[in-house]
Amino acid sequence: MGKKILLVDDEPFQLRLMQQVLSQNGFDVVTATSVATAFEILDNEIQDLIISDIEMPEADGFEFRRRLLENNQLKNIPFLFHTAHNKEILIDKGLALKAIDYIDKNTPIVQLVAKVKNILAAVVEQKEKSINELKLVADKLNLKNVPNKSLKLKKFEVDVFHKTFQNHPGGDFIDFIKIDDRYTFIVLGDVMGKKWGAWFFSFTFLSYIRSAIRLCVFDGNLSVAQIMQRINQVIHVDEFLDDIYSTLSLVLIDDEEGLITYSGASDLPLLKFGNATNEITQYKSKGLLLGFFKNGNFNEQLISSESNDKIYLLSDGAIDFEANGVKKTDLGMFAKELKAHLQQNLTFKEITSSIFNNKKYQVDDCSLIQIKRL
Amino acid sequence: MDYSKSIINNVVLININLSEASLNQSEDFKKFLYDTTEVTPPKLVLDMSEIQYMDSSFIGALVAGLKNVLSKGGEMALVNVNTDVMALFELTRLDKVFKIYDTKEEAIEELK
Repeated sequence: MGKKILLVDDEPFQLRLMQQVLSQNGFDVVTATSVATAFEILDNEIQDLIISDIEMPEADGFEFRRRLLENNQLKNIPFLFHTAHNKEILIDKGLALKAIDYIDKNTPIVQLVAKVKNILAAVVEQKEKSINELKLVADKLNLKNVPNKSLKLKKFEVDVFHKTFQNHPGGDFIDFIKIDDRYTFIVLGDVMGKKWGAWFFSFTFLSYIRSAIRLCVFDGNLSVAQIMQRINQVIHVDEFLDDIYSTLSLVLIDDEEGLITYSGASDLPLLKFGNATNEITQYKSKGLLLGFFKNGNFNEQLISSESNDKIYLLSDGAIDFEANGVKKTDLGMFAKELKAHLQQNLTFKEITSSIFNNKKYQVDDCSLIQIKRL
Repeated sequence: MDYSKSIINNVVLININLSEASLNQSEDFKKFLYDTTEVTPPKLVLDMSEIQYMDSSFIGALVAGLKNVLSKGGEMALVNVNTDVMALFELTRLDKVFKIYDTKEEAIEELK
């Protein structure tokens, strides 16, 4: 999909000409003949670049720019003025409104296209640079919300697949908490939201979860439902997390007995693929969203397993996808696809690279944990 | 306008005019819900008939709005929830968190 450009001009001929040229050069162009229409378009879809005429009846280009700057969601969209006037006073006025540049309507088409391409390339480069700098700092501070290694136990092997959304860290968080040679907790949470905001809060949730697990274990409590309720209690009273919510799947592996217990908070069901049956079974938990109610109504389920059985924990990004321009959330379809892959005896890596391929448009960060009984 | 509201029988009926409700609208929508103070304590009925897809950011905004309403002794209900969205709510027990009704009339009658 090409970069999205919004063209605003009250002259339909000018608009059509520009649209044709930019579309031919791979851009996805939408047009508006007034500032009011431009805002309607922006309300539905954020654009990568706005090119606007200055002189228009009703609201002019300067007014348009001023109103964009007042809108937190729209003020950072790169903005170019496109006008027949080359009076310095107009150019100065436009640039003072933080417009990136000014294009004369007499500029030859080739130069215009080159200028648009350069601006968009510079924006992408700057954005990537900023993200990389933030990631570097996070790495230095050892801030990781997803483990980078699989976990090998005596009777189980745990593998993780995690894919970020548009290369931004997100709200999915995963942790393995090894208590001793017998017990290990597996944590999969998903902070509601996307990108940096959700990523930031995932560490607060993780800290509470780690502490609650440790404190319960110190007290000799290994009930995942009771541990969930402890986590829920602290999050419920934390004002810092007042309007931030997270789902959670909590699994305890007993590596001596080969048992798994599970409790969940508004998470997606666990999926178990039975090696002997070749079927997928869903395990639905009853727990409600972390911290919303004082009592989260958590239950726990014992999940037995035989050699080569596989249990999956997943975040909602794994079942969210876009097909033919329509976004959908479909667990049934995902389970069907997973089953088809498992019946072919593929490895976890082969399965994830096939299911989460780039052809299928991903709409959120997504995580899948496989617990395989050896 | 993405959201519009009217008052019927001391209940605020909110229409969400979005087919895809996601991250881009979630902050604005949360603010819109927080700013809906026409009725005290707040009684909100949200008409979701236009929404075909909802991401977790927008669900987060709905949940935050509900918590805000409950903290003021009010109530919030959802109506005309699309089948796909309802399936996700049921899967994640959010149907136990929100009051969900089939029609506006039914919800207004319950909340008024």
